[in-house]
Amino acid sequence: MSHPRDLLPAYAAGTLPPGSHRAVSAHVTGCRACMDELQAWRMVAQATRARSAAVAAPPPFAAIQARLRSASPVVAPYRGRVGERPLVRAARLLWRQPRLIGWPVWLVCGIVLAVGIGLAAVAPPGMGGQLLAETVPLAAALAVAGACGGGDPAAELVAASPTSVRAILLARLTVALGAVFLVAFGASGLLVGLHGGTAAGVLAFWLGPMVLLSAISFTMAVIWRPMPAVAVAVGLWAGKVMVGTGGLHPVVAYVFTALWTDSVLGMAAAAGLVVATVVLLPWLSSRPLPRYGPAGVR
Amino acid sequence: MDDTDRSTLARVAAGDQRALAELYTRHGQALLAYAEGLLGERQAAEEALQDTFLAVWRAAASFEGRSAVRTWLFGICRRQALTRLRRPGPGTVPVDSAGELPAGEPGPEAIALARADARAVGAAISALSPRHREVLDLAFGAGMSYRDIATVLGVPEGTVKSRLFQARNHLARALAPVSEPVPGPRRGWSEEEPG
Repeated sequence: MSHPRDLLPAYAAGTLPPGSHRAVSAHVTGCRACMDELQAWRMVAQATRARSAAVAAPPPFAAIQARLRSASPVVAPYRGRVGERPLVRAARLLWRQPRLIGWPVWLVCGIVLAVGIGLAAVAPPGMGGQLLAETVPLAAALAVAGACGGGDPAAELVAASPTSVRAILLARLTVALGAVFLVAFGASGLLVGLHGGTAAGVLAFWLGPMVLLSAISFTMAVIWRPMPAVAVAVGLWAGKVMVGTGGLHPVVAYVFTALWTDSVLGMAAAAGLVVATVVLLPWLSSRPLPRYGPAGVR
Repeated sequence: MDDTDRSTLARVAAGDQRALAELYTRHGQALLAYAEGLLGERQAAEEALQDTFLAVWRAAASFEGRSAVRTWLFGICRRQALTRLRRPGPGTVPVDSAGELPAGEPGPEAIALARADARAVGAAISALSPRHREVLDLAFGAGMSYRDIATVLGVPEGTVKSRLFQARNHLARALAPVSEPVPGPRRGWSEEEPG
């Protein structure tokens, strides 16, 4: 056995499994250098334990009990039997998501939508759909990044809850995307009322790009973090705007135009991204990310 | 031990305050010692301990058993203590290489430390940075395995080991005969990792 130096602290603490403990014992009796090292660790262990033992006993439990009376669960735990009444359970799961998704997410998404819809309403006939197509996908991508990327204070409780991470994530995706879709759908109806045309015609402008951009944002936010997803969404949006200026290389301009066009291929790519992310999720969430930040359970 | 804790926690989840009191009796002292090591102050440590048990009361139903109950308690306690420090904790520092594990023969500083006076070592531990003191508290005070410490701190096991050795090297330097300048006490959460 080479010098088991990294095991000596655990050996001194008495926390090694029996097999390793015996191996280290055998080595240390024959190795002067490691014995000296172990003595140093024993001294550190002894001094640390003495410090811990010198800490006076905690105050009586009554102090906490007094505070318990005013404390109520942040979100009441689900008490139903798992597997029973799945539709009711799904409805409750969806119902709780809007509150758990932070208000800044809704605010940012709302501002982008309001600006887009406002501009579309005052634009000349025929331009409204185009303007919606440039703002609705961005709003959707931002909402999805914020809702599905985690990192919020509720995420820790959610991660520890008995509901599967996949179900929570899909619920959040449904809520975020559903909200943006409903607002944009309403706005499309408004445009038809103002300028004429068909709802399907207006929908064709923004629905495809919204689905594809949201899927990209969803994958980035879940696999990585919300911020890169936001950055990519804004980058794709900027690219689309720059196509209009005519300053882009034709190939780059073609790619951006394709991304922002309603197409079967785009829809299929979006579906593929979402399905792959959800399938891979259980493996992704076991990454050794730092999980304990200063803003933990309160 | 953990089986007992788990059944107690299940009773807490069902709303049994006596079960929470049992957990408090079993782990309160160790958690308080840990919090006091982190915060360096009795009053703040008691508050962090109270908040820990309030958080346990609220979140007991969501404990999923990915770690031992005790490890889970220390994790919550750490977050409550760090909230009081109002600074980013070491868990958020990305540069924390595990490449500082010692190799080869032990140095003379180990011998100096082994021969030091226990009280002097205790005083030197008090002067360590909270980041280093907490890893000693978890390993020796709370008697946790490397894996459990890694769970509490949210870092890889290699980082736990390298922090233990860094802590010990600081102690050895502080206790060595004054032939070289001894670094001053480091009390804050420092962003850079000493070499």
